[in-house]
Amino acid sequence: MWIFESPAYLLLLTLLLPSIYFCHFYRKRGGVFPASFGVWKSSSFKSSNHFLKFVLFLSTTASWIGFAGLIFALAGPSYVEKEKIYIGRGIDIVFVLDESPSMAAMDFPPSNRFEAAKEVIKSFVSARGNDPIGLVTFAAEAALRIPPTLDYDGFIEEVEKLSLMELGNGTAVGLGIAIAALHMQNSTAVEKVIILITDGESNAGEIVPESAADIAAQMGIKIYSIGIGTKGEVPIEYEDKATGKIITGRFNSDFNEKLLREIAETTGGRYYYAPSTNALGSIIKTIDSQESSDKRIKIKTRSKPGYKMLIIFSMTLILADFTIKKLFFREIL
Amino acid sequence: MAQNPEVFWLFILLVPMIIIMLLQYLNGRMTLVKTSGEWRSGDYYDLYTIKWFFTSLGFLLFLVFTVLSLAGYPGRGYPVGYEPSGSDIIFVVDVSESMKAEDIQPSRLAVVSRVIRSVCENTPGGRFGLVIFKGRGVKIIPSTEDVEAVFNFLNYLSTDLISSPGSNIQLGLAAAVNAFPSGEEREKYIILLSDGEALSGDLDEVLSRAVASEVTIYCAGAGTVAGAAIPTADGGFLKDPAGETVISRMNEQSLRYIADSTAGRYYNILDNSLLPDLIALAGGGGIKDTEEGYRIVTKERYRFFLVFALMGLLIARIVKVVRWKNFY
Repeated sequence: MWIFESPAYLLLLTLLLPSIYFCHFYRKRGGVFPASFGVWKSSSFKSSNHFLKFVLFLSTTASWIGFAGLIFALAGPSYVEKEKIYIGRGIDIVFVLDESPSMAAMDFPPSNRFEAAKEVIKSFVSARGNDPIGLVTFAAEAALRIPPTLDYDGFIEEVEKLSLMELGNGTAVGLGIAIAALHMQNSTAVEKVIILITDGESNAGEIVPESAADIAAQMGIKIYSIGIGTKGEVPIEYEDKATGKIITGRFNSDFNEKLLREIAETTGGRYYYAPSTNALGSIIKTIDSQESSDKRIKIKTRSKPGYKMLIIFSMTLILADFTIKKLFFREIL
Repeated sequence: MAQNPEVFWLFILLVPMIIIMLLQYLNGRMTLVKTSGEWRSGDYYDLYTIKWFFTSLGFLLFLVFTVLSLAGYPGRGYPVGYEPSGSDIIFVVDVSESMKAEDIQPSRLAVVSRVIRSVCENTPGGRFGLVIFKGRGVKIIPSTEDVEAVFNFLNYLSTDLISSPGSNIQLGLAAAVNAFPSGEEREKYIILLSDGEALSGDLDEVLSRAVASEVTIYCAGAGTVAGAAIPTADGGFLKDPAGETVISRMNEQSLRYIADSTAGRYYNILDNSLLPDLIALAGGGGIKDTEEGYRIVTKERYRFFLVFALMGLLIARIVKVVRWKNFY
């Protein structure tokens, strides 16, 4: 939003019209003298060249626009931006996302479980304000993708780059939780949360999920576990990273609900079952509302002064008028 | 001191303006003789000379004071409420080939890595990010309290992380300026760790962005002025097309310029005060111009000069049209 820091200076604009009248229309003004080129008391010389008249008009107008521009510059035009500043520290949230091949099951329209999970993670992040959010993915191995950060744009960019089976084709739930806990150990947040999204049974990794949950509980980290996917036979389609071939087929989908419930309850969190895209979205919204942090804010305004461009613009117009009148019209005063 | 001394080049305009005015004066006198007749010219000459002098003087004053209004002289400071909740530090690491030089042991890049690790280790609760640059700038670690992520990355820090050659400091600093999260009132610092050699890119453009974003840049120069050869993978040293061994030397001039432009500070990376100062910054102890929740802010003083510019312009116009002695 553009504002004037000192709008009182705009009162000087009231001088503009009298000045224009006095300089160009007042009959008894000085600096000119009528010289007759005809018989006694005939009218003085007037140019009939319309182009010259037009250029003279443009030049004079530009000069007065420049004059007005300088008055506007005096009033201090500034572009003001308002920024929301959060007071206080948010909570740390790390998503632990399964990227094993079964996440390619096509029971989460319009795409698969993995893409549906990515979308809800993105919408969750967009709705937060001052909570650092990180991401760990796991399959046969686990890796930190993004440390807990407030750089949400960077986070969303990284989420969009994720693809299935970059870490093998097992399901190391314990390793995923342990990596997330490791990267939250130095956090100063009062509350730390892991949101685990998986559709399978833990079958890989050096750390069993129960031990990882115990470690998290000792570190004061709460885990929300979400089991996603319909149970029973579901279609699946994914690209085999090793061969580049598209694999399609059907598989019997199931996951260890008891384990996920135990992980959540050990850490004071809660287990959710998401059989559809809509259910997953609702669960994430529920967790979002449950884990609300201190949202006290203040508004900070930043102003960017715009007077320099206005002064340069005005000065250019006035100098152009000066040059045209002196060199082109050979004005003597 | 003027903040934008480059605008003083506009004073060059005074030369053609004065020439035009003098030519206009000579032309005016001849025109008056032709149009008013020799017998009346004496009366016109004096009035014309006086009017020409004051209109010209008014216009020149307009030009001079307008330029001064653009020069950016700082005005009197005033306090604004400011209570930062800590500091954000983004490390910007030069990973160009010259950082492999071993004029400081074990190598420039290894010393850089050690400095970053020390700062992170000694600042509990500090928030750090990491950007590397070579032919382009890449944000590796976003601003985070997770120092484990920084340490993990430092284990892999090498000059091979970016394939595009060069040392484009503009892209590196631009990635860092964009890496600060919004929505918080924290001090923003970039720690640039580089040998300063052959830096490319539009430095002034990115520095003005840093200043506008209230980012202060501290620079640590890695290497020595005497320089050293750059080791290659085959055990030899990098050679130029003529077959001569390339000697890489630290260039602290550009690093000093970067630090000075953003009210930061330059250090040699082996300087004993570097680590304590960086740790103080990371812990929120490097806040400048602040006291009891206030910060002194200065605005450019331009109105004073602009008022005089407008008065000069008005003089030029009024003197021209006020009729004197009832005939000119």
